[in-house]
Amino acid sequence: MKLECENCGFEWDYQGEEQYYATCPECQYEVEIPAEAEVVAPERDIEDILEEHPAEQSSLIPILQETQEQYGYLPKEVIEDIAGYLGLPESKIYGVATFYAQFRFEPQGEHVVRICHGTACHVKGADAITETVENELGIDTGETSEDGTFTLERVACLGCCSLAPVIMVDDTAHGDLTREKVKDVIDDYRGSSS
Amino acid sequence: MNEERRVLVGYASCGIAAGSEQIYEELTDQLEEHEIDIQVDKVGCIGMCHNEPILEIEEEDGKYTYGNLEEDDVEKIVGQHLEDNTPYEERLITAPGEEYDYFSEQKKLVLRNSGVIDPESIGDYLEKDGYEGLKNALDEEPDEVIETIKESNLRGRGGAGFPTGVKWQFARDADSDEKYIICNADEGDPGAFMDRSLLEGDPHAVLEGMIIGGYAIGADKAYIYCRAEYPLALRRLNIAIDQAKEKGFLGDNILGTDFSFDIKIKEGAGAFVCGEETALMHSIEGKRGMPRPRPPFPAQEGLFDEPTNINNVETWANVSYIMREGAKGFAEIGTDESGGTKVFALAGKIKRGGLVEVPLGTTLQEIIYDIGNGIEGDNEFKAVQLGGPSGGCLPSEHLDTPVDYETLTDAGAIMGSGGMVVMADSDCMVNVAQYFLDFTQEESCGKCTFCRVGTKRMLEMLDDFSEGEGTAEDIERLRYLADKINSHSLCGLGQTAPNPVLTTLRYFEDEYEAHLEEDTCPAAVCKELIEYSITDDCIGCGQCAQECPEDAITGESQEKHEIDQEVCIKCGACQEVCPVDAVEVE
Amino acid sequence: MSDEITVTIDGEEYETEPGKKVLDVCRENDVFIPTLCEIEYIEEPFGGCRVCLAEVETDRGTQVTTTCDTPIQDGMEITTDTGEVKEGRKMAIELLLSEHTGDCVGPCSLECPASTDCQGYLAHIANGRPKEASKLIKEQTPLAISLGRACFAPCEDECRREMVEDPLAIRQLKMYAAEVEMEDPWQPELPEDTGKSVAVVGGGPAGLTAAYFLRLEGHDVKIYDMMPELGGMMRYGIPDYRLPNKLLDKDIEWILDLGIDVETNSEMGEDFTLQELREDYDGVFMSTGAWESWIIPIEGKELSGVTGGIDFLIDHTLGRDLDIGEKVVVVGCGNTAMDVARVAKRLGKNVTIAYRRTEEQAPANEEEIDEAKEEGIEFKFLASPEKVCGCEEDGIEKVTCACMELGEPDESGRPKPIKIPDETVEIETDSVILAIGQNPDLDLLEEEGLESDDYTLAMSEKFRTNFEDVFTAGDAVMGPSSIVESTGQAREAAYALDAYLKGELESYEVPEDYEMPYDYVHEDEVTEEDLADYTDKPRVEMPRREPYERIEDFEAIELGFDGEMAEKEAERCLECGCLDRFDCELRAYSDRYGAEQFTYEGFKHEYEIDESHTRVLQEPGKCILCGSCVRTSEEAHGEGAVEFVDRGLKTVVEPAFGKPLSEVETEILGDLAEACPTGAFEEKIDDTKPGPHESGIAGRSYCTGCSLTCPVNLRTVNGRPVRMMPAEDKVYQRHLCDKGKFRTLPDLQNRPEAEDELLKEVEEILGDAFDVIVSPSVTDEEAEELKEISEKGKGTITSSLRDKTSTADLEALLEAEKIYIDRKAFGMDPLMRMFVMRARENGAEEVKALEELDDGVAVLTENSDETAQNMIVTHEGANAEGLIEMGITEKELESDTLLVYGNIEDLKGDTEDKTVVHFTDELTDISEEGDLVVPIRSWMEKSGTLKNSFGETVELESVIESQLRSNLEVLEELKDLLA
Repeated sequence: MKLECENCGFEWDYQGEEQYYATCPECQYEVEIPAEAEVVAPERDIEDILEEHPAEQSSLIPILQETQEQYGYLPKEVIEDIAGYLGLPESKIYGVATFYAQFRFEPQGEHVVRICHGTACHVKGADAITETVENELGIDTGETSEDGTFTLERVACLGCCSLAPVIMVDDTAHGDLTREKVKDVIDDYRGSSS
Repeated sequence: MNEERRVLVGYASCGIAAGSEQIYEELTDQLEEHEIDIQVDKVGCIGMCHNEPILEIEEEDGKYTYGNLEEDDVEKIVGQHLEDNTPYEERLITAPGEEYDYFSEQKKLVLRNSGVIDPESIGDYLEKDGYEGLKNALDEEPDEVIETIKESNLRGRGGAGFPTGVKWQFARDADSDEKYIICNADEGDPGAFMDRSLLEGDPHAVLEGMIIGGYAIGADKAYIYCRAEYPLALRRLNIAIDQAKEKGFLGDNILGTDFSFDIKIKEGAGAFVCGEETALMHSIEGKRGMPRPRPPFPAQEGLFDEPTNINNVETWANVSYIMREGAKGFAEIGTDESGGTKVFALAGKIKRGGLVEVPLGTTLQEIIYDIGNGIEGDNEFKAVQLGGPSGGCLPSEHLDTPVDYETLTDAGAIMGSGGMVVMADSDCMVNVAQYFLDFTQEESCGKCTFCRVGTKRMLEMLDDFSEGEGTAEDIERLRYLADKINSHSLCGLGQTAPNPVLTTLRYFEDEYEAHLEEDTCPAAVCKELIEYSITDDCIGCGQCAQECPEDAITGESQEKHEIDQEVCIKCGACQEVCPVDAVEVE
Repeated sequence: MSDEITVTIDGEEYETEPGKKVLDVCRENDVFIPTLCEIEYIEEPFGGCRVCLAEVETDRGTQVTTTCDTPIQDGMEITTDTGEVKEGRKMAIELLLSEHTGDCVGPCSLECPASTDCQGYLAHIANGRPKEASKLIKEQTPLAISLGRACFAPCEDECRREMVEDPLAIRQLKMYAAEVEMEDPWQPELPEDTGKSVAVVGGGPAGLTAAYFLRLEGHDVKIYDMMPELGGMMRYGIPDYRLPNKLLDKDIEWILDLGIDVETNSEMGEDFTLQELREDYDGVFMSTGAWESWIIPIEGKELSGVTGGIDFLIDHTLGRDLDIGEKVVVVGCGNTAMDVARVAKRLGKNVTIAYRRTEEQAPANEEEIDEAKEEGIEFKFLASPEKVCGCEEDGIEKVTCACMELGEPDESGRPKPIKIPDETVEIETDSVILAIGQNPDLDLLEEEGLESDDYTLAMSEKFRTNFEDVFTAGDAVMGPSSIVESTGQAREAAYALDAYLKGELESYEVPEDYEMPYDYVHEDEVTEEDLADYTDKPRVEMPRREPYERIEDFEAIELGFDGEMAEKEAERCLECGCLDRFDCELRAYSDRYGAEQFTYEGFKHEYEIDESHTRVLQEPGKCILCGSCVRTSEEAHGEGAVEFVDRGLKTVVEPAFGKPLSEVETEILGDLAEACPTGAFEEKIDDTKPGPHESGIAGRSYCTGCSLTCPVNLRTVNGRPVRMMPAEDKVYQRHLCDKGKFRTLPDLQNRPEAEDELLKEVEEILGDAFDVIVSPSVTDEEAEELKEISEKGKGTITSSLRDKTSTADLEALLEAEKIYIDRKAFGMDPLMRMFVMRARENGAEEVKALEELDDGVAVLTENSDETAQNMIVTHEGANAEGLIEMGITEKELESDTLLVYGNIEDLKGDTEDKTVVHFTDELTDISEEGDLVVPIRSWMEKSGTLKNSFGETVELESVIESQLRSNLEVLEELKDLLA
């Protein structure tokens, strides 16, 4: 991603994983990384969400959950709005949001594939299923495919252990999987995505 | 056949995952087509996960249970059973009067309504004497209620087994006009789904227990901390709360008394550590779920620094049962130290997995073989894992252990929340320990040194072992590290994280030695130590070569194929797809 | 019944009240318990580091648990040092170390055989303070000048800058510093005499060093040396062009000035015996070196033209005639061979060096070989001399050498040279000098009863010979080595002898290379790629004399750096060693519990270092997640400067969104650095290079940055103020805002000079019509004097203060029921915000308008127009309250001549047409534009009373001696002049 340093004008192609700030190799100045996707406000936007919650810290996690449901992820500006409303420092919101696995700071793919790694699924071959799906989608766990159709995640337990090994795609679960079956499941969604 | 006939469709999450949604839609279409007007209820978990999707028909003479249904079975059931009143033998599991041995050993106290009543109708719950327990409680003094719970010998079902009555007493004695009741429905253990099934199957039983608890300790506010990954349970809880309020069992001046009580729901946001009570409370307070030292215990200073009493979902359900049926009856079930039953999520390499509720004191042998019907496929039993990442693996010599808090802890495992995963000779114990350590170090909150860094270092040692690297002395180093992490970590997560290591070392040290000294993985799981090879019965069909993701297999058609060991990543795809089982691994 | 509780700790019974934690009781009774995540100003324990373990026995049994969160019970048994407790603490530390990234001490300092603090003195040089650099060197070795000239500098081979472009010129920088300081060297104070006496036999580098350190311990020392002058090999073995003897003499004089007697031309075995010394002295130090040339058994070695390398150099230094012909062959390729060859060259001879191995394997310094080649000396490698041909009468014709080739490596790891059968080479020559090596004169030592093992003197691991009161070090023990190795070993041996003299030899532990044996170095993990961001700054070239010119004489080749070159070169230092080296608690506990760095190894984070802030550095790689910075920011200041981000092992402490520190709007970063037990959050001293340097607390004083006068400890290095640290205090606790902590401290060394007649000049300028403007931070006493002086002028004495003083004290604020805060003007002061937070915690309710305040307390600033019955007024100046009480407030100026007293930044209104005399301790705009500047003592060097916003009078004490007269004397004198 192309970055230009405001301090010394040096331009370079930034490869690192930092999300908000990158150090300019020339003058060590901290350059702000522009957010990739500009924020598309859903019809029930952050103001509406905030109105429904009392302005105390115990509303923070419900607010974050509803915000993510509406926006699909937690954009930086929205986190700043939440901090303002609750009268808490931005660092606290960011600190709490990064603690819980549910929250993400980048938009997700159209379909979210969650592979269960519960104990039962593990002993019945969850690793093999993961390898197959990773090959099929060409991404690793935790990544979103280039064209934005699929996000692959790993979860601890979906709670239907008798159907192990299980994966969930968006809200539907698929159980008793083998290498073959999981390929078909992925193809169904690949076909149906717009 | 008369109007009381009723059709029940198993509609818990795992039922839906197995396909009961399609079954339900097909059923409504068929009933419309055959113009049969009959009451159809979506019910919670019936407990026979291995037979899902399940449909039951309640007749006057009893209940017919159909299982493992496909969509086209529905038409036959509607046609034959409902219209011509002849059961559809092919999918029939039990007819009235017959006893399905899966259930014979079980004793359903907490799960008695689950899979029977429509969880979204308070009416059904009231028909089963719902909220009678609450009425009995409100007629007594709070201290008398606590006495009853003490008498019942009920102990915490979250895993620690602390006597519930004593716990309530602490909260009762704490003087503050603002106290809280919390229901811990975080259920982060992988392989555990008892709380989910209970919440989806009989939410009112839990609410009733909480209201009783509130009355007993003098609290008027409560939270249910339930995982966001349980959408159906959350939906049914919300419905149940609204219905309870309508009926006056919840909200202000419950049943005309001056006792008011309100329950709110807080969704867990994905942190296993929030199953620990102080982390859970911090999460409700909108903070990072990091545990804090104790004392002060929650009963003195808990949520928002006020006295708080936290119990697990199953414990609250037992409370409503006890206040309804009486403490003596409850205490007689189970053992001298712990009254009542325990629900287990039986899964893994078991023939009949599912939700199993047995009196405390039942032996592992009875659960796995009488109820679970033994090991799946032709594998041989190796170990049963109890208590998830904080628990341990018990070998066959311990199958006669009666299930109770102390007996399991002495054997090195823990009761835990009820996860019970059966493992066979095809499972490698080093890999199992590695799996659990990988989980706990990922879920560690990072606050205290021993857990944050210790779990990672233990995992790295296990990673080396799984690649055959290490000596007997390293095993001692691992045991030494595990022991110190167990005694010096801040909270339960860190303290129990070493259990999978300590028990696999205790009962399966020979497997560790096999990995280190002979560079072999007896269960052929650890990738670095196994080799896939094609035997002579290969018929050269080429299926495996196609399947192999790394193109490691070569050979002419009809000729014996070869695996290039350098390229092979040991994923086992060839073995899975070979029609003639010509792929060997050791 | 009294609610007293008794607990036993390590067998002792203690009375205490309930409600405390085990750690509190231990602390109150000075029972040591290590802690890494405990902060005394936050009551609730964190419980993260798990280091504060102890064995606690209660009715529920005994367990090893953390003491910070375990409440005490009556009759509790606590043991703090059982085996299991120590093991638990050690493991906690070792787990922390396994994810710790950093070097306690840079690889250069660790490599130095004399443990000199290279990074430390390079920093002094970069900061323009060569004298302090030299003093720092002299804490490890007295031979600063000689090492600067002749050390073989192993430190430079370890310097990581070599992965950027070239290593630092550490030796040449040491030379610069030592030779600047030698003009007016540091005088170490001597303790009073111990009454013990030591004889040092041999005044070479080892002997001189031992004498120096033993003298500094207060013993009487006398050096005996067989040669006419002291210096040993430094004088007689190293030629002048490398180490000029007049510079060596400077080192020696400086050492002897400590009161060390000398007896030269006095040889053991001739003029005295070891047994005599043992009777006359309490201890003897054998540093006789290794003077015997090693004569290899080649044919013709007995001919007169064949001499030993050292004997040649000694004769040359003593000026004896050297019977060598026109052509010379030097055998061997060590530093001695180089010296011999280059001396012979300077004597106009034609010199060839024969060496049996290759150039790469030669022990001589690379630099030396190149310089020898430049000077026209011929080298014959892989040539091993076998026969010197010639006879006694007509001398030597030639020397025949066998040609060699390299074979398998021998036990030293170097490939062994093997003879190529009957292949020889002949070199015509008139004389042959064998500079292969030397060893100690064993016969001399054995005659004195000293035992030896094969070539050298025998020595125990605590530097003792076989006689209990005779210690030894240097070449006598190590065989021929270098100056730096001898002085390094001699220092430790001297301390061993000192311990013996004090009867504490048993407990004496030879310190490994550094005081802290546990030096965490991750040198192999630092790769070129880690240092990629550093832009290239090639090494500053040392000016040196051209070869053709320098072979004419024995003058020094290197001409030395000037100040500018030295600073530019020293600035290149990458500062690998950690800034928190002296205060890091993790390091102290690792040392105490013997924690090893690599017991647990595994995944480690690769964090970027945040150097964006000028005064605070953040290195997440050194963070142990003790949470002290996060909790200080949140619980002490109610701010969110930094917070935990992510979870588990990925947790890191960052500002919001990983923002750089420089963009965090806060004034408490200094406080976070104070709270941090390691180098993760570290304060950078306001200098080009922050060091680190060990700083001592010069004294306790008060910050005069604003009217809260927070108590501070002033830390100094060599008497120079470097750092403001919060002082222990019940109310202020350990807090200091960035305004106070990062104030530029007056640079006491480069201050305008104060001549005597200066005051006369002032009197002339002022005449009898002048006004006096006073800074709000001056003391009451100074203000009294200035008031009287102002009467001599037009009589107006004014300041920028408005007539508004506090009417309530801090206690009233903390106990108030209601408080009112003047929001708009209030944002400026973190400490006041902290006190307001505490008031709220104690139950105070903040009212929005003054009217609702009734008898509550208002917190206002000097420029808010509101007033209240009970108010605390905060001001810019430290003594605003005192001055307002004396009536020194804002008034109309009447005269155009102004006496401005105190470091006021600027004056309201224009001052072009005004004549200004500025009494100040720091130059400001006024002093630049003013007519005359009179230097006065800064707040650190003066005593006096101030009155702060809480109505307390604060006694300012002078913590630094000043060369200037006291301010009151100056004002007194001015007052008389103006009479």
